Amino acid sequence: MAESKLDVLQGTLDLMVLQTLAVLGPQHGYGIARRIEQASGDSVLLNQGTIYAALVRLRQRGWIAANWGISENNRRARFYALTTRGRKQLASDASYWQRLTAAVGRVLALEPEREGQ
Amino acid sequence: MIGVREFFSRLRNEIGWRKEERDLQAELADHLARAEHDNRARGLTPSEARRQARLALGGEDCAKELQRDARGLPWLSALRQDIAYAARGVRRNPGFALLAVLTLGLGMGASTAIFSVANAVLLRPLPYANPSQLVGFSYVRHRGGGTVSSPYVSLNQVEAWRSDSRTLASVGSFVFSALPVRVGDQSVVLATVFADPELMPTLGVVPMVGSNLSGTGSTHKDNSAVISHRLWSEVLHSDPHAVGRTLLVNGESYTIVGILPARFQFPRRDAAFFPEQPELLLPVANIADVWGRDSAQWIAIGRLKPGDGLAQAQVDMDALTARLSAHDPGMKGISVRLEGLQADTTRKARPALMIVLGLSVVLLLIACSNVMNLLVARSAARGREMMVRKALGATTERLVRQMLTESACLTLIAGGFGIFLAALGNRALLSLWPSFLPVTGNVGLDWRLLNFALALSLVSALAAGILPAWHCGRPQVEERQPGERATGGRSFARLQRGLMIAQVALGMALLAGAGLLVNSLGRLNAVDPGFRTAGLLGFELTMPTQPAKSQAEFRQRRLRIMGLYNTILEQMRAIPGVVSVGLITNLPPETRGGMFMGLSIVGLPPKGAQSCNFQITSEDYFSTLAVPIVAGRNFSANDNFEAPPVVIVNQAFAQRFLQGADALDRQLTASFNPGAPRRIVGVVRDMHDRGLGVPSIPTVYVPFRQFAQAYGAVVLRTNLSPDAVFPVVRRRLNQAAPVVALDHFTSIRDRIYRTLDEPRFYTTMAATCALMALVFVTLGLYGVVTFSVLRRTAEIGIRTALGASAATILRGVLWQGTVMALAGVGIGLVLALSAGQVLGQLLFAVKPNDPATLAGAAALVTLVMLAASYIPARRASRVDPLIALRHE
Repeated sequence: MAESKLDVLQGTLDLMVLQTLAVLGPQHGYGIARRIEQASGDSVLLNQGTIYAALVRLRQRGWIAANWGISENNRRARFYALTTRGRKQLASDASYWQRLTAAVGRVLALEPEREGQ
Repeated sequence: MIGVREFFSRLRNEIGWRKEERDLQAELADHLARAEHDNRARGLTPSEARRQARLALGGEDCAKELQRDARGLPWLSALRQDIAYAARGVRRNPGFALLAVLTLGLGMGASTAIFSVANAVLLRPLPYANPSQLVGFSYVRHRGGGTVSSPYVSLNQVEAWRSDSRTLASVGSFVFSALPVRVGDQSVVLATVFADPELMPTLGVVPMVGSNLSGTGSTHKDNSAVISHRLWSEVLHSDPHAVGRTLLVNGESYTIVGILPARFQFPRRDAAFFPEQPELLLPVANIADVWGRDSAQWIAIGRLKPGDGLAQAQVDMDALTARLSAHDPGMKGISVRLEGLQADTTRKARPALMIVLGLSVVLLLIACSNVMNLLVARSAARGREMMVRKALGATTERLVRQMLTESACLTLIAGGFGIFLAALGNRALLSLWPSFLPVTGNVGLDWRLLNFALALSLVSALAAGILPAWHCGRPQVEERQPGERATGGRSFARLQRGLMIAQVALGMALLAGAGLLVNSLGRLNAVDPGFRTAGLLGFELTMPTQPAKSQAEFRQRRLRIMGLYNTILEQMRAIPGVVSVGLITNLPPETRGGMFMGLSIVGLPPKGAQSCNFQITSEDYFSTLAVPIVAGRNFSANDNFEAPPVVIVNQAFAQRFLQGADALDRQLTASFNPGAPRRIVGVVRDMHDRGLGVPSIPTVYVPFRQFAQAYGAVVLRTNLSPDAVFPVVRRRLNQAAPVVALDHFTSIRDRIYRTLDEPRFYTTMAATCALMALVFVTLGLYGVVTFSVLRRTAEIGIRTALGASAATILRGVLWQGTVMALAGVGIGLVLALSAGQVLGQLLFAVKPNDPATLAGAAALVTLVMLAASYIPARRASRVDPLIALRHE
């Protein structure tokens, strides 16, 4: 089962978190993690624990903001939201990602050349 | 790399660590609750739902650890742990920490205190505007194959440089003097500077209040005075209207035109004749003609034009001197050397200070290697612990970092302790401070000093930490042989022995150097001054004089001064308990001052520019000092103004100017009255009146009844104590001659003692370094031998069990220490011999390779080393084989 899932590449988790927040609006850590798993059709192998390191990182860079709220069943819960800077970052990161994957795709599409001699 | 914003955010999180932990805990709890809830909604059993939630999170602790690393500064947390660990180590073994801190602290304290001296004298920029542009001038005379340089130049040259130099923006000149000043109802002698108005602008100093001297050069005479801040605040009680007030200086009324800034210090204190800070600044024009514009007695300071270097200025000056010499016979054989003012000022003090600084650095090296040895011993003793930690997964890097943290902690504590000691040592050094060492500003602990101490701390930390760290980084668990004990391997022992031998060698060299200096000081002290010092007291006199306007007035003034001296001498002779009284220009020994005048011998061709020391004396002077007249006669009361002019010369004079030929009845002409040749009527035995160990210089004695001078000194031989005589002298002087100011009342023995201030100063510093080094090395050797005994306890036990006697064991261990000591002493001797030449210039009557001193130092080191290894050796010889073997 594990073999068929994709390991999250370094750095891409941050991008997915930003995108998730952009789509869903303010959300707690569990929600973000679940959403990423669902959106990728459960094809991403997400160690949910890593989401919290990513959230701290993004918060320290000022791309997301955190607020404490009360969840449905009266527990303290931290909600994260995209900041203006985060939105800009998302735009540039997303376009970078797209260019990169397109380029990688093109390289992978190359036909093997005939050997000389 | 992390950004600044992120760094501060992380730092904030480090500081608010507890709150962040609580938040994280709450967040993860919320996460798990939601996941569990979802899982149960998918139909899982409650326990399975909880399990799945935890699985998906990937372990709560792991998630926390990841988040902590991302949120804080991991190195900071590690550092915190390392420090806590180091503190625990100190608590467990306080003796070790105490020893390390004491050794390193003492070493650093001594180096820092000595650095503070070097800093104040050699490094601290002079307190003037752009001090690097300032230059000093010296006359360099070629004499007997070598060169003699003197900071005194002639005013004529100064004027020429000012007008003709293309590289000097300005030149100021001045001379140190001392004048009687009326303060209240007493005459006091104040140190004075006569300067041209260019001096202050050249230095870039502006009076705090009022103005500078007016006019230009040395021609503008007027009675204006600029006073020191101290004179203003202490004598004039900080009078806001001080400018415009008058002072009675040298019997004349001077108007105060300006007050110098509080921190101002006159330059070239090294060229002053007395230790006091000058309090008055008067126009040099007032004395230029009287003192002689062409005599080399003035001090000049120049400021280079911006962009002009010293080398260029020297080339310019050489060309200028060549041109000027053509018209000025006095400049024959003299070249003018320019040097940065700071270098010029510290020229004399530099070698001694550099040497002492070097000694203190060696001491620091010994302290460092001592602490390094301690750390090596400890890390060897902690080999098992390191192995365990490595086996549990600690990386080499982490272990090295921890060892470095530990030594850095120790070093920083030692550094703080060292700074404290340096502050104390600084005070002690100041009390020993030779007054003529050219200091700029206070010798305090300043930021530069603290930086130095800190740099020393860190270098020491690295040095003391790097080897043990490297060692503990090395042991690999699998490399250990099963039989090898965890108390340290052979490489530790080798490293320790090497360090120990180096320490003994450095300590030996230090002790040899200090021994040479102490020996030299002892020989200086033992020099017979050539006159009887017991019961000899002296004081200086200064009386107001003005240049006479006519020949008649001149004669009248001279007679008045002679009369005053006569009265004073009579009054002093009449004091009960005073056996004998004499008059002299400069109190012996006088190391700097003197009345240096040109002279020629009638009938002998001059050998270039000839000059010697002229001293005005009374007929009782030589008998008061108990110096014999070796040929001819003494002065008598009949050698007066009316009688033919006569002089007495010393043996050095006869040797230098008469080639040892009979001096009696030769005639000499002095530059102060060229028209009247003086007959030599006597030759007096040489004495060390220029300081002990300083050869006698050619001196001409002139009877005071034939030549008057406004300043002089009285010597008294008495069987009373100086304290008993002083009030009587003061009272009688005040009654008999109230205009005469008395200064520097002292016993001649004390004066002789003070001439050795400088050698005593650096010898004390060197001896302190050497003794501390000896203590460090002793402790070090004791530690190393003790450690090796501990390491070999089992072996010794086995040997004892197999029948080795206690004496054999004792000899064995003692031998081990002796080998290290002897190796160190041998290397140290070689070091001392090769470095001894540097010391040579500071030594008096002792050769740098003085066998007795070197042998004494070697014997002392060897003995102390033997004693240091004897204690552990004895302990080793008493090892109980049963206990030793059980120890395994």
